[in-house]
Amino acid sequence: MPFVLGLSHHTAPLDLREKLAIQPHRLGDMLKQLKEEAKAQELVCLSTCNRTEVYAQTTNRAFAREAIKRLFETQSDRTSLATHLYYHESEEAVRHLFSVAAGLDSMVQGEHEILAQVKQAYLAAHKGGFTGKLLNVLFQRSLYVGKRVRTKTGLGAGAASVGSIAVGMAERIFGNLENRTVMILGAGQMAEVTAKHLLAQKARSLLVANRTFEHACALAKEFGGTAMHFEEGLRQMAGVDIIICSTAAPHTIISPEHIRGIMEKRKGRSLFLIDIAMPRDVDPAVNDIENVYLYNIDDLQQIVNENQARRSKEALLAERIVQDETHEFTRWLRAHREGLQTGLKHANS
Amino acid sequence: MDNKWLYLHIPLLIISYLLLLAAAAVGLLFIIQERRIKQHRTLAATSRLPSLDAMEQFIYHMIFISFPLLTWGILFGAHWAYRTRGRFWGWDPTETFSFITWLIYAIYLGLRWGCGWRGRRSTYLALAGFAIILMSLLALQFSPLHTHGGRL
Repeated sequence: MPFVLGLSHHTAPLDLREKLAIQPHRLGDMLKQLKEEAKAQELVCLSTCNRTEVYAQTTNRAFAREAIKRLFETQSDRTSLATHLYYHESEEAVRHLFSVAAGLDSMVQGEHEILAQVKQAYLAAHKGGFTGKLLNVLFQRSLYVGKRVRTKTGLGAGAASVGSIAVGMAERIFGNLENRTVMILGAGQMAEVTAKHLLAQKARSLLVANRTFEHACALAKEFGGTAMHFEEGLRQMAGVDIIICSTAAPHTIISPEHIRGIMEKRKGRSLFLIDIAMPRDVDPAVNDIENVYLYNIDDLQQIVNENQARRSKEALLAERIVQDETHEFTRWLRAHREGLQTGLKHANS
Repeated sequence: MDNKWLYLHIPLLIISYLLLLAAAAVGLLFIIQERRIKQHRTLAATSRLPSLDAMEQFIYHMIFISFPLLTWGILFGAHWAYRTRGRFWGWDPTETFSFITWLIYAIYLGLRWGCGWRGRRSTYLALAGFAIILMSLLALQFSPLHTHGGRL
C-alpha cells in the first residue's frame, strides 16, 4: 500500500516551502538520496511552489517515513517539522493524490498547472526507474482523474477577485486589452491592484490623475504611466477606454453630463468605468448612457460571490468524482494484491 | 438577352441578404450580451461570446460589404424592369420593401460615419433592416411584378 508524506500551503508557511522546493534538475539526485535512505521500492517526488510531497511504496513504512522526515528536516535546517507535515497511507494517500491532481487541494481551486506538474513529477521518477507497477498505475490514474474532473465539472472556471473580475468585464467589452488606455482617478490601494490586473493584460498606457500630484507621480512611476493633475485628468477622459475611480471625495465627482460630453467626442466608442471609491465617485445614472458601462465595487463583489458560490458547487461535484475514483482504485489494489487479474474501470458518465 | 440583368439582380441580392443575415444574427447576440453587461450580470453561459467590440465590428463589416451589393442588385433589377417593361420602378410590395431596406442600411452607415452611432441603437437598425428584408421576401409571394412563374 502506498503512502504520502509532505507539506503544502495548507500546513507550511512560504519560507519553509521555499526551502523544501526541489528544482527540476535536482529531482533525480533527490530521488536517489530518498531511495537510499528510505529503502523504498517505489518513489515519486512532487515539488511545486505550493507543495513538496513524497509518494512511496515500501514494505517498511514506518522506517521510510522517518527517513524521509529526517531528510526534509536536514534540507530545511529545522529540528522538527512534525507540525507542518502530513502523512496519509493506503486509501487516504490515493484520495490525496487524486485531490491534488484534480486541483481540489490547490491554493486557487481548479487551477490547471498542477496536473502538468503531477505528470512531470511522475515522468521524472519513471524515467529514473524509481517507479514500479503500483505507482505507475496510481499516477497514470491520477492524471486521468485530473482530466476527468476538469472536463466534467466547472471547477476553476470564473475569476475570483474584484481585480480579475474587472479585467474579465473589460475583456468582454473590448476583447483584447492590448492598446487600450487606462486612467486611474485618485490613487487608492484598490485602484492600484485593479490597474495591475489590467496591465498584466497588456493594456497600453496608463494615466494617473490625483488631487495630490505627488501621489499621482509615485503611482505613475510604479506603473510606467503618466501623472497629471486631477482637473487635467477629467479633461483627458475622452482619450481613454477604461477609467478606474478611487478618490476620497465625499460626493460624486463624475456626472452624467460630463460623460455625455465625453462620449460625443469618443464617437460612440465604448467606455468602461470602474468605481471602487467609497463613497461612490460616479453618478449611477452614468450607466444609462449608451456605450458606457459602469461597475461599482458592489457590482464587482456580487460577481465575485456568484463565482465563488458556483465554484464551491463544482468543488462538491469534483470531490464526488475523486471519491468514486478512490474507491475504484482501492478495489483494484486489493484485487491486485490477492493476485487477481482485474482492470480499472473508466467511467463513461 | 435582357435576362442577363436578371441574372445579376438575383445573385447579388442573395449574397447581400446572406451577409445581412449574418449581421442580424450577431446583432441579436450583441443585444443580449450588451444588456447583460449593462445590468452587471455575467453568467457563465454568455462568457463564451466574443467581446462587444468584436461583434459590433463584425456587424459593421457585414453591412459595409453588403451595401454596394444591395445597391447594385436593386439597380440591376430596375434596369431589367426598364428593358422589359419600359419603367424602372413600379412600387410593388417587394420594391417598396427593398427601398426601405436600402434606406435603413444607408442610414446605419451614414449615422455611423457621420455621428458616431455605435452599439445598441445602431444594432437595432441592423436588425430592423433585416426584418424588412424578410418582409420583402414574404412580399415576393404577393407581388405582381415579382412572380416567379408565368410573367417573367
